[in-house]
Amino acid sequence: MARYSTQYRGNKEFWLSLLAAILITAVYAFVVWWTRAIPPAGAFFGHLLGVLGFILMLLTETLYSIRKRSHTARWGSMASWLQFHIFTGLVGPYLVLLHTSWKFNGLAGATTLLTVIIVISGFIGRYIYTQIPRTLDGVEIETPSTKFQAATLARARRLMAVWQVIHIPIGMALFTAAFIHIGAALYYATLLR
Amino acid sequence: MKNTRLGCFTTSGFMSAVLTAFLITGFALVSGGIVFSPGALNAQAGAPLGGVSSHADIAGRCNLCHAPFWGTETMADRCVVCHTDVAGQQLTPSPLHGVLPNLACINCHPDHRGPNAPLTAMDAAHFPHDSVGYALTAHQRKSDGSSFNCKDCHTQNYVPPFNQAICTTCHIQIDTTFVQTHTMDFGSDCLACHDGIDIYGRNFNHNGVPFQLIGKHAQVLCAQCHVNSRNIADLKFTPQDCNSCHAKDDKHTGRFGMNCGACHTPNGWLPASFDHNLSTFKLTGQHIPVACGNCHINNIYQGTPTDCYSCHQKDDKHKNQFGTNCAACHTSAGWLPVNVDHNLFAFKLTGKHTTVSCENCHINNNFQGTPTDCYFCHQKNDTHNGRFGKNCAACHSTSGWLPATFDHNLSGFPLTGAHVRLNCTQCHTGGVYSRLSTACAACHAEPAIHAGVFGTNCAQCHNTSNWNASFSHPGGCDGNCINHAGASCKDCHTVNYSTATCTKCHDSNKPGGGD
Repeated sequence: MARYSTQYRGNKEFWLSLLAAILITAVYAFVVWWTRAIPPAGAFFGHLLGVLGFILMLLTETLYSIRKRSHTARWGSMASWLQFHIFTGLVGPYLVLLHTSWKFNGLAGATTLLTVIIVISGFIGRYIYTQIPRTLDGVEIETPSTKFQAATLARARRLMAVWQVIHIPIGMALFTAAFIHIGAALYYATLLR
Repeated sequence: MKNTRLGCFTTSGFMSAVLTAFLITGFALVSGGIVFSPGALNAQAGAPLGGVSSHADIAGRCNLCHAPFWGTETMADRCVVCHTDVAGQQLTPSPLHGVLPNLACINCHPDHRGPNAPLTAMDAAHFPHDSVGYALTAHQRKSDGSSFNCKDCHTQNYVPPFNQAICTTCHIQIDTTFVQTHTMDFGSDCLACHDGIDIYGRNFNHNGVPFQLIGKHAQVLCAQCHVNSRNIADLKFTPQDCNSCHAKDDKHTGRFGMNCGACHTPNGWLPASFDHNLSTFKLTGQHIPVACGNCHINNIYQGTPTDCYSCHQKDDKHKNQFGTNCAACHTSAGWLPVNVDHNLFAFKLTGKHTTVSCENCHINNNFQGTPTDCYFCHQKNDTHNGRFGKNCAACHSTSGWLPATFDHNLSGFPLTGAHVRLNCTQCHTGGVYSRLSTACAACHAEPAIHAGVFGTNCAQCHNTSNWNASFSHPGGCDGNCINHAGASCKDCHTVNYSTATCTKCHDSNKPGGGD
């Protein structure tokens, strides 16, 4: 009989994300204090924030999905990968937010907005996810033991399906906008001289 | 069959991506590049240039300013398409645009900062101040913690030359004494050395240059070595040889040359580590602990004489009798033991003389003209009381007074015959060995048998080998008249030689008178 837990284990990824956010904020504050200016998105530090944030967001988008659907990869539990997915899904967007230099013009602003939306959507999805009982390895329990569990499971699965229909297109829109933003930045602002 | 696609590659996901791309493309087609703009362009109207009066008039026409990164054209190239006046200024050295040829326009003239934001902003975020040869690294904060404004330093204008009076005006408030001294030492052309990042300032590591500051050198004020230095070149060309700085300190007044480091270290003049053995006069024995000043009088270290007598004349107990080369007998190990080869002198030391201390012969350390005759020293030893003269060596050797080897035949009385066998004292009675009479009678009294007939000259008849050697019997009767050969003297001279009798053999004393 497979071991399972009806509740997702702990909130470690949130605390780690909070710690990372505090560290990043400290660095950002130091740069602000040192230069007496908001780091411009197009300067070195601003670019660094944007590039790192985007890489983390790409990892958010891809790694969890690859692990979930791989036939052969069994490295790490699905729950751990979800933790990593949430961690990068929080820290990456936070870096991107700092990259904006608090200007939300045009496509860049729209991309930031989509980023905020996808994070909120992710929070919601994470809540629904925890309603579905799983084994310790993250595999859904197919045979609920009580009537109450059966009802909860059915409702959660419906919500999850609805949520995915919303969350995934928002994410695709976000990454499409982000890639175009990056392309435009490369085209117009690679060599500002 | 399990789905192997990424989770985002759903139908709705693809549709969303395509729709987003269409939307953005549509916006770009309608609005131009505004959709990619990071902020509104400056809208303050100025003199018309290129058909427009502000950057805002060309909003969305990104390519008028932005050149693609794969081309050789830059943004600055596109700026001067409209700003032709600036293009002209850049070719002239006096205006600011001509002074800053290596800067891009955007370094001082950023845009996309809003319609009312100034187009000129030479702040730290945009203007690379180090491009004009002076970085603002060390000018991020004032002493009160506030940021610098351009006009804090550029009190008059931004066009070179920079008025450096402001440097002193500010810095003298931070450290008055230092700035006053520093200005006196190195002049007031601050920019000749300082580049704003303190390469040659407070944080300069002198040990990164060939002349490292070690020991006492680390405590020296910069200007003590860098005299009259007014720029980096002057600082770099500061002489590094010892003498350039320390000539005034040279207590040897140049006599040891100019390379102080041969003996001294930067840790101090003392202890010095002069290796005297590298000089022609090596220090050995008792010379090692001698203080330098004992030989090098008045700190004169060059041309110091190396002959013994220059230093040791005062020590010469021989009072110059043996010359000035002490080393002929003495070594640096000490005055004693002396290594004199007396046999090199006319008076060679043999036998008992070799164990005699020098003073016994060389009275009062008088080593020259010492008499070599025996009697000068040995008069007191003369048990003959001078009767054999002063030449002891005639009989004695240095091996000892005895045995002596007196040759009596060298005297006025050679010993022959029975005299040879005599003891000395049989003749030399009373210890008297000189001026003895050589007459026979001095020893040999005339016997009674002579009856005073023959005198005292024994040698008339006797010799030292035979008392009866050569007597010729007087009276003509020497055996001629009668054969008396074979008779002894006492056969006839029964009493003495003045009387004779025949009756010992004959009946009467009358010749021919019967038997």
